[in-house]
Amino acid sequence: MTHQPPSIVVLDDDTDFLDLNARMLQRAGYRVRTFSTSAQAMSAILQDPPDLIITDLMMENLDSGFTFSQAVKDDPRLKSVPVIVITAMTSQRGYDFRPRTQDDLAAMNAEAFFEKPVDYDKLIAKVHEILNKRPGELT
Amino acid sequence: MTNDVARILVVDDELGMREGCSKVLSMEGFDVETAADGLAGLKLFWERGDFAVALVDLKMPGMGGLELIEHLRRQDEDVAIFVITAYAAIDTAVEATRRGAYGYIPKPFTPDELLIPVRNGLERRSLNIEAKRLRAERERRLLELARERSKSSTIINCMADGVIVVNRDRQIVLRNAAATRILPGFEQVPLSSPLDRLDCQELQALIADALKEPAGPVIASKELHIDKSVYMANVSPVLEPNGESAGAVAVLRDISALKKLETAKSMFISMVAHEVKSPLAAIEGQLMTVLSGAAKSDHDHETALLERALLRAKNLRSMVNDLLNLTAMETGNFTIKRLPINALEVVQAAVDANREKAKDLSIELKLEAPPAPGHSHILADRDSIFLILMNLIDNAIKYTRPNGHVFVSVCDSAGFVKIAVKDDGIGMTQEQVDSAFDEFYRAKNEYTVHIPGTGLGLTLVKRLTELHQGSIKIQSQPQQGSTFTLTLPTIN
Repeated sequence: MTHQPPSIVVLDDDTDFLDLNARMLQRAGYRVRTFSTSAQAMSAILQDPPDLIITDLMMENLDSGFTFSQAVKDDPRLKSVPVIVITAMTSQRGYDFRPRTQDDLAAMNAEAFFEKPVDYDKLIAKVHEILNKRPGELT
Repeated sequence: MTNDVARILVVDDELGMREGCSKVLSMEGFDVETAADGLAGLKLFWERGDFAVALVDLKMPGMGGLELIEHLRRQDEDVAIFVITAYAAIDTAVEATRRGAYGYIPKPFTPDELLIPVRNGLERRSLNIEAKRLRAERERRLLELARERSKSSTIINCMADGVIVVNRDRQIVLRNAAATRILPGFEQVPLSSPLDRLDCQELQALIADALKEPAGPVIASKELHIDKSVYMANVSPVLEPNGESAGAVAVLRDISALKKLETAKSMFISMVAHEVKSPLAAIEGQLMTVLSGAAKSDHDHETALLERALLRAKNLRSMVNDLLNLTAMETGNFTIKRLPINALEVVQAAVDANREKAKDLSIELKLEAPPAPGHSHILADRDSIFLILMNLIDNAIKYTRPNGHVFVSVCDSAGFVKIAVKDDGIGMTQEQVDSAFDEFYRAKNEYTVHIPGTGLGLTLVKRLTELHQGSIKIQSQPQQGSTFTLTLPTIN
């Protein structure tokens, strides 16, 4: 049985980030699918659930990332798929929503939270860790 | 008091009496006039009118003494009148005093018997006058005070801010109409009620603090939320001249509108922050990737990353430009120079400026203008109109797929010129049309993610159009295309 590298879905409405994230993750050996709207991403992951989802927060509207992450958690087929949240927006109306505790992360159904611009060494280390230290085949 | 010699009127029908009185009084320095009967006396009094003392005989032919006294008193309420009569009887004296005489001098009398009552009368008269002056003064002051008080109470009542005054005994002693309106149930609380009847714990506490001794001239300010509105409460102690507390005054100002504005402003700022931070983060990511050497093996990718970074930087710069223009417009610092210009000429220029781009994207860009020279002159700032048209045409090209069409048309209609930019591109839903002019709004779907934009172009277009007393309308259908119609008043 061939060992398939883990599959990651990246969701961001900023195509430059999609491009960067996809390339960096591919370099680290993962299979990557990218989407720029949550609707497209949702229909794709329902058909073929990935091993990990990385999503932006503010897309079509201010909270589409939160909504998406909640929808993943609420779907029985997807709820076990871990989510990493990446955003440039860390506060809104003076309220800083950067998670400080595990509970904060759990509330947004996120395993980890990154701010843009992303430190890719840290991101990839986190991805390795989440995927049960199961790195893809490094090229 | 003036040095004036007191003038004395003597009215008596007996010549001897007139001369006798005259002589005695003149020797004492008084200025004496005499009359032989009531009527003559009254006439003298009328003509001269400044007698301090009148000596009146009771029994005279014609107008009698009593009648004369009544007339004199009516003329001058201060003149000291004495009755001189041979028929000294208690009832005549009483009658004379009732009619206004100070007293009577029985005939015959010695010079002293005349002078003493005259002097007493003069003194009483000046005391009366002084008392009257003081009374008048006091009344005038009271009246002024009352007028002043009613003036200030009117002013306080007319104030839009709520005013509540509490005395040192913690009683509510004054409140204006606004205060009764602001505080729920305050209308039912009578004046002089204790402070605790005020249905707002926070305000009570502020006022109680201001009443504490020793009070300083400190104003305590706090935002209060009362009944869905936000008020700024300023409470300060009222001090007696000696520094002791006399009470406290609270002023409530409705700042709800300000608060809303503040919220809108901070929302706008966080939106700007996000719109700036995202492209900066992208540029940073792209540059970091190139510098880290991660893309070294793929030269094309490295170049692509740098090109994208440059594009994002340019886009960011034009967004900042748009933002500055919008801010300038909002603060009124955006000057437009309105001159008569030919709308058709500006449209032509804007179309020409977009030809190259349309060609690159295989989009047909056409100007449909029935040339009607001279009719489409508008009073406008050329740069602004050019900017509006550039934005509209650029949008039409951006949101139209290859092999699509963008038609720009100009037509006159009754005092207006209508410029339409029509495309057969991706179009918009009604929801997207409704938000199209909002700051940073960009229709987001799978077709638009790759299209760069600041989200401020149409906001700018709308503001500029309004500055020219024009209007802009959108007609659009998803997948059918959009038409933006700009209407501007022409010069007659």
